[in-house]
Amino acid sequence: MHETSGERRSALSIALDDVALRYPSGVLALDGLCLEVAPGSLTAIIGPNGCGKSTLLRLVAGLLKPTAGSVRVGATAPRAGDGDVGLAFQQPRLVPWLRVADNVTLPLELAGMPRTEARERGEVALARVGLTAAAERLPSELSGGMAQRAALARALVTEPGALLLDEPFSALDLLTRESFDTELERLWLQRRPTVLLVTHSVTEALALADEVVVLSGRPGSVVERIPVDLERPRSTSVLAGPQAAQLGAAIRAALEASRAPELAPWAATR
Amino acid sequence: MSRSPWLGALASAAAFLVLWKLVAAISGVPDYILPAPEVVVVRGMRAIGSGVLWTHTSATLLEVILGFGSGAAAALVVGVVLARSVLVERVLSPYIVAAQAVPILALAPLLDIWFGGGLLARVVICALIVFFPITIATMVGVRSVDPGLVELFRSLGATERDRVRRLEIPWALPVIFGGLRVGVTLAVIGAVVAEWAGASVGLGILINIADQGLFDTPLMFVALVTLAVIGLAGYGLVVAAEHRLVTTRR
Repeated sequence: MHETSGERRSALSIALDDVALRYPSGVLALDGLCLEVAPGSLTAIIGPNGCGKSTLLRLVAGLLKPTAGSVRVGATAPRAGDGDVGLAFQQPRLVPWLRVADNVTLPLELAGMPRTEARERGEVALARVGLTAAAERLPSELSGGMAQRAALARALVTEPGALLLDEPFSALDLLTRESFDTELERLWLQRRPTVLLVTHSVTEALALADEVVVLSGRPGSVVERIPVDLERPRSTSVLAGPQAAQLGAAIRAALEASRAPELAPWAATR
Repeated sequence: MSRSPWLGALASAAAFLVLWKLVAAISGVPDYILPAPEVVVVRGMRAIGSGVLWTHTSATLLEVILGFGSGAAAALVVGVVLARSVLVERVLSPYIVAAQAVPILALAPLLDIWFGGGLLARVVICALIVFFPITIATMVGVRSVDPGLVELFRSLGATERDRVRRLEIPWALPVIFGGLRVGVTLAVIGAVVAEWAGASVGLGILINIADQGLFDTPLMFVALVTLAVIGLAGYGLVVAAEHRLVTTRR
């Protein structure tokens, strides 16, 4: 069975070395991608549509194996379900017939943890995202924001050394989303797991990341890495300051460059 | 709210009886063609009193329970396998469909010979007719699983067994219950057909006895009503199980 020790795991480094991924359909999603992420850092991955951001996360989660190159989480290749990595998707993906508390403990139960222990840890995870009061509800009885919180609690419940977030708040309205960003920063500051955050939003990247990684269009590879040296926690005044504005412009410029072919579709050879 | 469906059912049963009585009385046809309801009731009491009705009913009931149980169990397994493997579905589905397309009435005598003409043969015939709708329902239900949840389970390292038990079956349950509702009523048909193919007791046999030479039409009605009651009870049990097992979804 999988290892699910009670203590929380220390943050894990993530390393992708010259990674390529070709889907069975023939689409080359990533090519020559190199990326190293220090343990405990929060990295935002940003890039044009279809550049393979989600593919990158699935590689790190062990859901896909690279066609070429290597992927490491900590010292080993990632293995889906070993609890090292927590994954939250764009949609909450809650199991519709399970109550919130049971959805949150699902990773522990699938890993074979005794029910009482799983329940205790589930309660802790729910408390961390402020969802204790909704523990007995069904997913259909949750608002979009609450469902996404539940999904986040489920990703946190194994106390993963690395947390992978695939545009987790993109389905939420702007105000909810901004408060979620603040909350996510707080959660991250508590335990400092390594975080890879895929996002479309420059604002979100600035609000959260230690470093912003800009990917090129398909096949995706790293075109630029922009460190974000803003003080934490990142208040609205920090984010409205001149330094943030400068960084934002730099990220936008890099994105613009990586997006160029898409702006001139008539130049596409296909 | 909870009482109104029963009231509705009772009202419609009463209306049906009144209509039946009226038709029997106005048309003036003899009892051996259309017996009035009270004649059937009296005949039924007599059949219960003599133990004849229970002898035949218990035989049919046993066939229905065993046939439905084994047919549904096999259908669940095969349905999941078919859903998960396109190859298996391509190889097996022509046979499954062909077995369903050949009328069970035509197949029953052969199965009766093959399976020794006893209870086993009757259970097999009954199970066969039950099998098809539940297999198809299970396959369709399992195929409809949200791929996002499949990926979630994969990311959590779920075993195949966990995936079937905790995701695919629960997801498919509402559709599977659709198949079970059809299957349980077919089980009654299967039991009677099986009895006609070779048995000495059962409600199908009771109908034959009432028919052949006796012209005991009221007894035939007693057997028919009993079959209908078995079908209704089975259907009711399936619906009750469905209400218990299928929780609110999205």
